[in-house]
Amino acid sequence: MWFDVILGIGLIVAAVGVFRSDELFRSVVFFVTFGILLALTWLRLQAPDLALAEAAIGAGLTGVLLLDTLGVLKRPAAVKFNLAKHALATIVALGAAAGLAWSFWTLLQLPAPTYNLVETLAANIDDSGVSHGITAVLLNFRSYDTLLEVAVLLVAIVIGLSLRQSLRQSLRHDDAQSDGDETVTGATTSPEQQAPALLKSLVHLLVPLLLITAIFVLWAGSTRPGGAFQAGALIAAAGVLARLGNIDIASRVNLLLRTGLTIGVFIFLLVAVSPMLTGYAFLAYPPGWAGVLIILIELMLTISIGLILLSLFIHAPREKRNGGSS
Amino acid sequence: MHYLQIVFISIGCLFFIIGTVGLLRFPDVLTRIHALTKADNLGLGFIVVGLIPSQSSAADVAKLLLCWLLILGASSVSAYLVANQHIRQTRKPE
Amino acid sequence: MILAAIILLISLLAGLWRIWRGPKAADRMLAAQLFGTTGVAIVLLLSVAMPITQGILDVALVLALLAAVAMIAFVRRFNSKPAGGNEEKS
Repeated sequence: MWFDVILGIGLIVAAVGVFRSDELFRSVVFFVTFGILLALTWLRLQAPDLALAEAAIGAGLTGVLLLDTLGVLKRPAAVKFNLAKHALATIVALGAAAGLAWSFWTLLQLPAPTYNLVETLAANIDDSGVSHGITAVLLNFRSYDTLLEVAVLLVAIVIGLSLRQSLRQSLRHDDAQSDGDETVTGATTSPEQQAPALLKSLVHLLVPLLLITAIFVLWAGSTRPGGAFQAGALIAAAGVLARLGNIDIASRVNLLLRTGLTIGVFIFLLVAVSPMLTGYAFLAYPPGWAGVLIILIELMLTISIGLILLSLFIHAPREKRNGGSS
Repeated sequence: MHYLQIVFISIGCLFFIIGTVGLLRFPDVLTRIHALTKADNLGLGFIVVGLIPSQSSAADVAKLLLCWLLILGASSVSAYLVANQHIRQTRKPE
Repeated sequence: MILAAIILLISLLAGLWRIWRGPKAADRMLAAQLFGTTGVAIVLLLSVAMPITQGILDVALVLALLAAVAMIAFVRRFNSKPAGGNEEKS
């Protein structure tokens, strides 16, 4: 119990530290701390799938992405203290907190729900094709939600890529100097920033290990905590690490990259729509095929999510730089 | 076996505390890197050894050892890179 | 077991102070290393303290891998900025 108390206090301290730091880098460090403490919280709440996703995406990848962003930010102008704005913000925050507390209080007064989702899940899980409850819900009972989630990711990367193109065209008119100094995941070209040999060895060791763990997490999703999102994050981490070791991966937006980005949603839609050709409903897996189809969808999703997350790093639009890394 | 596990885990935690005390109290950046890298990784090693008898399969033991080796390798490379960068920054006249 | 986890958690939060205060950039770079090592240790202890939840060891492995990536990223991030300022454009 004391562990949870200290964890809770640590979460609040980290959250406050994110907002109250003078330097942006300290905020990023506190954010990564918050991510790790949140992963521990999910573990204490007996949700290892969420802890996997939080450790991979929330703490690891987002931390690196924020560090990258720090490098391209202009120095922010000093914000003058405005009493009116400060007072208004305090009132709104207190009002929101009061509203939240009130709704929480009324929630506790409501009678207990009559249905039990856990029992419903346990009764139907044999039909779902997998034996892990979370994967069954994500990829079978509520697969529509997952389809929309990956579609949102795809829209995000499409927007990111198109912004990058238009930004480069407008930058061609400026005479921006390229000093060879890119952010972490861009390809550094200055001679003194060549990757040290020790780093290269570690990258050569870690990238295959990350890929193998990604495949393991993907496969394990059927029977134990794991799944496509976590595996995709591991693949993206492998790509980011390769870039950090100055290995050129996925730096050109060509047909191969575009195929990889879209194949997840494409296959998912294909599997979703094709039952309708034979009289079943949308997203209804034919009986007996559920397990195979789920693995297929998850594999394609892993590839897509990994490439999407990686492309968000590499091809995100940059201000005042001479285009992205390609 | 249970008592031996507790002994190992306690020694591991002790090393973690030593590492953090060193991180907070050492006067110089390079010494702080020493404290963090060596003491913390040793503490992790002791904890891993202490947890091995609690595992139910050889695969779990392999995972434990893999965690430790990974962190060990990454910490050493990271410590080297940080120290290298620090020396280059402080020796270069700018 | 939980006591050990508490000790490690306090140790993690205490190390934050150095990262907050550290006068040199190198101190901030050590943040990833501190979190990685201590975080993995806490997760390993939790895997034994909470035996009914399976898959916690996988979380430890993934955390170790991502901590390795984050450690490299933290250092390389500053390697690209030899002037040392992390908000200035160099």
